[in-house]
Amino acid sequence: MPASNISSSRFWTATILGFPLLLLAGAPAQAQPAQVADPMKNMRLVTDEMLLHPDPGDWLMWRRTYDGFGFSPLNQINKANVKDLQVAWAWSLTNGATESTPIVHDGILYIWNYADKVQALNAATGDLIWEYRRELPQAIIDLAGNIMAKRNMAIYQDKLVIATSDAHLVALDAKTGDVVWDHETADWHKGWRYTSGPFIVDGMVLQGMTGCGNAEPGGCFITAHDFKTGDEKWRVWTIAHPDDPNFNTWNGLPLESRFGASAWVAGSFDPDQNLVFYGVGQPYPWIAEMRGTLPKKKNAPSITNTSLYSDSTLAIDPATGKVKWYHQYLQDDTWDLDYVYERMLIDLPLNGATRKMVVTTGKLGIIEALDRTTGEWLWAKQTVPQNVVAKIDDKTGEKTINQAAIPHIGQTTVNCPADPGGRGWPATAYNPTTQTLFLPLNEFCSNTTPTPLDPGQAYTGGGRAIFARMLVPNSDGNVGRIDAIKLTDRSTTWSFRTRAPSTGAVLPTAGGVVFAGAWDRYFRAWDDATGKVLWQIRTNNAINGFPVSYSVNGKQYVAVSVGNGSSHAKSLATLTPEITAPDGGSVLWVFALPDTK
Amino acid sequence: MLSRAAPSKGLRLLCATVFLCLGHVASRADAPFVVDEWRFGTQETNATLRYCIDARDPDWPVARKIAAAVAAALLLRGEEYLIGDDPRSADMSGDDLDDTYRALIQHCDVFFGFKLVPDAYPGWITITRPYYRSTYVYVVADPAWKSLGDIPTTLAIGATIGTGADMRLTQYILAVPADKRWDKYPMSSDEAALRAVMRGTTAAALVWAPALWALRKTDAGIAKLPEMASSPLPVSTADVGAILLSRQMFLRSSLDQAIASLTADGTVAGILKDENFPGTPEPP
Repeated sequence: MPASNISSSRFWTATILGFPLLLLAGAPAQAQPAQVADPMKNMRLVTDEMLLHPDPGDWLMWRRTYDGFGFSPLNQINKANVKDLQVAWAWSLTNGATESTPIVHDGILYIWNYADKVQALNAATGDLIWEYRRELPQAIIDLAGNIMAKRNMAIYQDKLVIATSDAHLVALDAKTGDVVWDHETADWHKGWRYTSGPFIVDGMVLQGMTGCGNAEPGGCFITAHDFKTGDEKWRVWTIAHPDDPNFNTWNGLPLESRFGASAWVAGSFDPDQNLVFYGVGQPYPWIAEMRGTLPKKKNAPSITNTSLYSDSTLAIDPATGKVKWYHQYLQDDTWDLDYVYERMLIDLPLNGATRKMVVTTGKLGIIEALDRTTGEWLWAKQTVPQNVVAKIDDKTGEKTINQAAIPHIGQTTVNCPADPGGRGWPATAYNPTTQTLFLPLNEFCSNTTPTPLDPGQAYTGGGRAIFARMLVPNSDGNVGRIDAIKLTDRSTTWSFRTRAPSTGAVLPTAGGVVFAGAWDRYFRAWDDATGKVLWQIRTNNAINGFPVSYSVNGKQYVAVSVGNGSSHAKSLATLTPEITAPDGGSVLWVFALPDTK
Repeated sequence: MLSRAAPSKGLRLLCATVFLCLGHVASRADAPFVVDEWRFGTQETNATLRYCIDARDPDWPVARKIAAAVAAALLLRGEEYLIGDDPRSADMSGDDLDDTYRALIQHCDVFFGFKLVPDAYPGWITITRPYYRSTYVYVVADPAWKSLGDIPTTLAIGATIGTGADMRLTQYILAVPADKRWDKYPMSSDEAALRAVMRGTTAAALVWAPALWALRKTDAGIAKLPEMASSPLPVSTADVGAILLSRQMFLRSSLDQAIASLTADGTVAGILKDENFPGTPEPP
């Protein structure tokens, strides 16, 4: 037989013999339909009803539900079996500040990557379904920092709505990632930007603006947009403007001399009242003597210096933008002590009656409750050591400020806490079944020295101080804390303390477990009743995102993003220089229990 | 100029050149976090002084000339990186200098045009000796006011936020009885402070003289605004120099020597005079 024919014969023999092997080789893949199935085919439109009452396995908004609890009703992972938790899959994210909250719907997980990349992943397998990359101006990329991190996105009907680093709102087709509409809200050249994402209520996209310290007068704003087009419907200014009855709260300063009051965290929604609740940050520059609200204006009894609506809750009609009521927690903030974070809508007994409350915790670590129908102040509970508030009136909530803690030009004062706060943007969460609030906290103080900010023109724009952070007096060296507070009597159920600063949000679940992580890369699960650590894993980088839990085909998962670059984490890390995190390696980690046979 | 310097200075310049060859060896002790910092490598040439100039600085034409003179004095080829119309750092959360760090690892060995404010810089920055000193000036709409003390305390002073002069004015206001205080309005920029005077929102503006110098060249209205004396306050001044990474200690020493030589031989004074710039060499 000619050599060539032999070869040919061998080829065909091998092919014929090998064909079944190829089929067999393909069999295992076919036996794992979850890896190849396209969950998009079965994805349902996200309805108003779903947002009001989400499926237990879905995570449809930043804090999962309109009440802002950040609680998962899933209980497959529980106190008994959480010790068996293992990595289900992981997905590398773009390096950079990673403060993301995944959105999960019908087996699809949407994740924000640093620098405006959004991905849709198969939530069971981690397989990429689609990816959207925004082409950002090089100047924004060069600014780097936190600017290109986003803490949340929003989903509604067939669209995923995102806020971009160049101050646009963009609606993406949730099934394809295609851009449906793109609306410019403000000029990024002037420093406007977004660090958190949209909040969708009744077909309106609500979004708070930040970047208001960049020498742009008049402060920040919250806008509402038509969900179908992105067109702006209303705008609420977070600093009192001349047509506002509270215009006289800025020590007589003209509008062009008022700065700050960023609305840099998404809101909550009370459908019974048809009200959204947004927090507002501090006025700029941080030091009151720099921004002109101190000294108090002379001979002007009708003029105050409370600097409204900084450090306040705004209760807003989402249809009209009308502010029904407001409450200011900290007047004329001169420390950078935001009260901007999540607003939880909790019904609790108080003096024999159930009160509809809105509960929030500011950077001071003071938990405060208002009546969310009226704005009436109800109670406060302190957590971390602080020396700014000397007394809180138990009837009105009015705070008496420790005068020794007020920074003055030419002096150094000791502030506990200071920037970046006894709690920062990593969110607290609430388990409604146990009526327990869980908080990621940090204990520290700062020597605060107001400093001229004009050493170079490249960063002129406002005022600031040098914060020389240090441990609290008589500290045992621990900085990070996770506290569990029973809100019915405001008792501390447990407090887990650790050297590493707390840098991630908390996630309580119906399984009786609380998840959270820290700067030292540990992601942990605690018994929600005792604070006992039930499971922990050391990941590749700082836990710096918002953990969520979801289920696909009856299997519960816990997902959390990690990464380095957040200014919040970096600031806290100065307290523990011996604990470092790698400068690269942002990752979405997803955990689950092993499959049972 | 150093190009005509004695051999001993030439030896030092050679050392400076050799040092530039070493590039930046990261010491991340307290340096800012920059995403993917590994992408910014060392420069390959050993005869170049890479310097940044910020076109948003009002004195940038002067800084550009002085930087070029410094490079020449060090017998190095000057390579300018002009920072253009980038947005300024967008908040005051402490990240502001991250941009500067990025510029110093990506674009330049030294960044010109920084006011040398004591204690205002983190440990990873070192500063050169100043190459000029300038002042903060009061500008008014009413030429009848010859000094700050002439302005009725019923009127307001606008001051660019947070400058050293603004802080000294604030301290003065805090120190005097309430009925002797002016209202002080913080202004987002020197230009905003000047325009508030033109609109009548404020009676006077406290601004950085180099900013006034730059704006007068392009705005006829601002050019007409008269200056007045700062009394009863003393004149506020600020020294201006350059910054670089603190690990570049030898380069800083060389830069200091170059600036000193350029000051001593009149080069800096000549540049300031040519530009009709409101500054004096430091020391004069």
